[in-house]
Amino acid sequence: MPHPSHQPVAVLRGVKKSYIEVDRTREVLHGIDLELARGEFAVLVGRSGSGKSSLIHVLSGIDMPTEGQVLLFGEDMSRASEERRTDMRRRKIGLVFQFFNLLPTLTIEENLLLPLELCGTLDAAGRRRALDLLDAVGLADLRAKFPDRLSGGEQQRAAVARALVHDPELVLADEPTGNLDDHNAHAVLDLFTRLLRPSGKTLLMVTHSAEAETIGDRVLELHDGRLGPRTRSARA
Amino acid sequence: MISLLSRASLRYLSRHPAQLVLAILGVAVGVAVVVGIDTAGASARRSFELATRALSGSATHVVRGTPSVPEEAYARLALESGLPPAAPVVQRSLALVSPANRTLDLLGVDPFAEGPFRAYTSASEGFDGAALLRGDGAWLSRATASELGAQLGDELVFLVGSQRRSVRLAGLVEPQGELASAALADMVLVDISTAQSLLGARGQLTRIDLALPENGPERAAALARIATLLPKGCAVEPASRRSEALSGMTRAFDINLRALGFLALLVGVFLVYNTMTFAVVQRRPLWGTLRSIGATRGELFRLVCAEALAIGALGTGLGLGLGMLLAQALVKLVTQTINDLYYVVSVRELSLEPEVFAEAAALGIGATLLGAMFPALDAMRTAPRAILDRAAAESRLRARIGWLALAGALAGAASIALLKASGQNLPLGFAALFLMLFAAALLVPAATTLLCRVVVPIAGALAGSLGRIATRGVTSHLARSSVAIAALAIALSATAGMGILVDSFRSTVVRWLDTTLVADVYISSPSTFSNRESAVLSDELVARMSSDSRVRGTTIFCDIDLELADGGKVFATAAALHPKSRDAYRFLAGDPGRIWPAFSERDTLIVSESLARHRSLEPGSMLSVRTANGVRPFEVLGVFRDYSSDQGWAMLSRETWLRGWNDPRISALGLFLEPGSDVDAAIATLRSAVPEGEIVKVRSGEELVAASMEVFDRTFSVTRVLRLLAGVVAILGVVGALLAMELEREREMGVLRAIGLSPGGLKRVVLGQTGLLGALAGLFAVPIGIAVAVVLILVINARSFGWTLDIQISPRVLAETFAIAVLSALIAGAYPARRMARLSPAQTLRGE
Repeated sequence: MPHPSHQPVAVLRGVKKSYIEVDRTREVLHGIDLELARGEFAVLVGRSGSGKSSLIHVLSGIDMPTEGQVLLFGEDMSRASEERRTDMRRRKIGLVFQFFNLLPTLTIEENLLLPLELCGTLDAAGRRRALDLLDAVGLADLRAKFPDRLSGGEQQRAAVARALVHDPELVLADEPTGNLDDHNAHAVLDLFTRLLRPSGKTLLMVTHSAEAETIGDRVLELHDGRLGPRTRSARA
Repeated sequence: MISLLSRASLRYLSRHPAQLVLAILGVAVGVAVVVGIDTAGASARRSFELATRALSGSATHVVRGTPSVPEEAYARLALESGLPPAAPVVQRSLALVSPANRTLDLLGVDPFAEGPFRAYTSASEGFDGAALLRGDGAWLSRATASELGAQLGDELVFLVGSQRRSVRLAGLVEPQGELASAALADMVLVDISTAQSLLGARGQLTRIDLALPENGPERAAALARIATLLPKGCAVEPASRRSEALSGMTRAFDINLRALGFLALLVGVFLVYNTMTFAVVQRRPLWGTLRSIGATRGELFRLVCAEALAIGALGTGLGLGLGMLLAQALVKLVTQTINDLYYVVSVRELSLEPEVFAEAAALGIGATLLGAMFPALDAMRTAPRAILDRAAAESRLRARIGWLALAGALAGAASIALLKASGQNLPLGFAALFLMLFAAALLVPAATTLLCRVVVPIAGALAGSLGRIATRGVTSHLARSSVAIAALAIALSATAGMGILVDSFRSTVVRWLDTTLVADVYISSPSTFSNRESAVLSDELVARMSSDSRVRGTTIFCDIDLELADGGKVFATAAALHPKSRDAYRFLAGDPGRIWPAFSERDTLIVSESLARHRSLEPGSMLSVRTANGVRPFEVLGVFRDYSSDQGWAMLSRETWLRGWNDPRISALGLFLEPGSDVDAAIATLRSAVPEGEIVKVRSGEELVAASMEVFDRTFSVTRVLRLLAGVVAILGVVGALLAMELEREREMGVLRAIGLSPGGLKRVVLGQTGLLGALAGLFAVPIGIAVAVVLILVINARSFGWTLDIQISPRVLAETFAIAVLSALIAGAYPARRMARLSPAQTLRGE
């Protein structure tokens, strides 16, 4: 049995995903094989509708593959119960979305504390970590504000902080800069590098941004539901 | 061809069938409650009108006597040449005990004199006037006989006073037409002498019907000639006066029924408004997109209105059908109350009044359009980008909260001013009540915001972030949540108000009965109406009961009708009161020290609170009463508390009655036993002493209280059913609202699931939020309900019934209201909670 630190964080084997539509079944992932090593920054590109978000959803356990195997930290998530998958997300995965998805009814600070509360680790150390993170993303002064009072860039930085607050092993980001201007996009990518690299966290980031590709250790391309080598057309 | 805009709207509705059904159902239930109550009331009124019109036939005037008309009076009129047609009538409501239990109207007529008066005899197949004259035969309509299970030749046994008397069913008639059917429903037709012998009233008539010429000198001359022929104590009055007096009796009950209808209407309007507001508001993104791609404001507004019109029309149609079903159930309760307290009425078919349909259409379609129009106008006026931004809508509402609260406070002040200014005007009283409810609805957003400031930290301390999410969701979606909270609170406050009114009434009556019924044993005949002892006890019975060795004293009652000089009638009791019975009277006006000494000595009486209010009487007022010795002035000595009759009644001493009318009848007896007597044993002995063939009730004071409360509870069964219905309407209304609200938060819930909230946790968040909405509505419903009850008791009830009630705010009613609010909200939240928990987070987030 390999040593945990050498074990891949995530392994996808022959993963297929289909959606049943009104009059047909549409397969969006056609047998994906992928390994994410610990500490790796992987960037995933592809055209709209190529299955990028579906891959993130399957990997995070918020959706189930139609076929194939999803191993997270050595555990087969494709056979795990809803409760187990939820628990895995709570403890080991951080998610960042294109549209921020901060809870509008919680303040910025409370949004950060929520994952800790769900994990049952909302203690003084957790609160300190949340404040440190807010400080690190430059939002300490805005921590008592509600999301609708913040700009898009500020909201996304808060969303990144929320994804990291419970110290996840794997961060999945679905077009985190897709809704931001260049300046804010740069700031968010900078956060990933500053906050994840030193602690050896793994990142899989879906993006259309050229700049985002530069922070990846490798760039993967999803083309019509198949993972293949990076081609120039993927950025279109 | 359907435009693309309309197609988009239709497809939206067809893809959200549950919400469409809820919207239609919300409108339908609101309409159904109003139609049900109004149709039940209208049907009872219509049946009464038909029966009265049919029974009085074409008589223009009637001769009445005090207490009856001697037969010689008819003989004199019939023999006098040149007088208009006249017909003698004996009429009384009697309890049939075999072959079935039913109250029937006994009508004794002279078939040869009937021709010009009651057309239903000639309009009925099988009627044979000559056969009616032969002996003891009685005639029934075929429908009534079949309902009673009576065959030709069967004995019809009636309870007359305390005796059983019977007649033979000699013929069946088939009434033709609505009037004849109404006349003969629940009526037993006999020859006049049979009626007299059955009632033990030989030589006595209830009235003589007259068909006088049209208004003019001929009529005046006829009236003058008739007056000279009538004996002392008899007078001519217009035929309509009696039916007016009878329908006047139920005026208060009718007003209250209509009040309940109006309350239901108000609840219905709120729910329809609520339903449509949600249907429009939740499609703001669609309106925004359509505006973005070039649809004009006018086009969208017309689209929303057309949609509301379609939903309103469908809901109204369905509501009318449901309302008729409801009316069928309610009409039984309404007629039961009328039969218990006022007069005998039988509703054969529901009366479909055009104004009820108009009201239903105005409610169903009008309120639906109104509900859709305001949010539609709001959405249409806003720039497309802002429409897409829900936060903008919330911001606008937050900016207006202060103004709404100010408008609510002003409307509340206006409602109080209107209440004070309305005097005895009931419609204005109701308008004030509705203005008050409107004011409360306007205050809901501000009150919700304030209360949530307290609730959020508590929820946060108890349930952490999830508690905060659940509670803050209420204020962050205030545009939706405040409408749902207001609708639920208004609906439940109406039911709470009714509940407090009934409780206050009940406890007041219980206390009053406990202090009034002071005798140990009460003896009376079974009577047709629960609050009037119309029958007579035999002299033998009275003698036997009073002479029992344990009886220390008696109170004697005789229920009578006082004919007033102005043609009106007042229920009265002639009583010889035991000192203990006298002490039980609580006077609201007048000095008992002066009242009792004067009570027996001269022509005086005391009046109940209701009668005092209806006829504006006070100590010192004079009433001109028609006695057997002519019209005499009676002085009002005092006004006493009483809840036995909403028309009110007067009491005069037995000595006064005997002086003026020389009528020694006794209809009820109260016995005071020697101290230490065993009441149950005495009752057993007294029951065994009842003469053979006489039927009387011998009851203890406690049993009489229990029997009175049974009638009371039956009277309020309509109110209870309506409370239940209002609760159901509230739940249905709030289900739609909460469902729409929660479904709108799907994405937020998807995020929660994505970051690790379990399905169970999500359920708790959704239920926590809907539960809080319900709790807030319940909290608001309590003070609003108390205010509604106070207005109902102090203003509406006092003005329509004339009773002073002690306000009894029962914690049970308040707790029930709160519990119904929370429970209905939790029921409403159960589906979205289950749905959210099952929903794949990926599916909700895929919207990106």
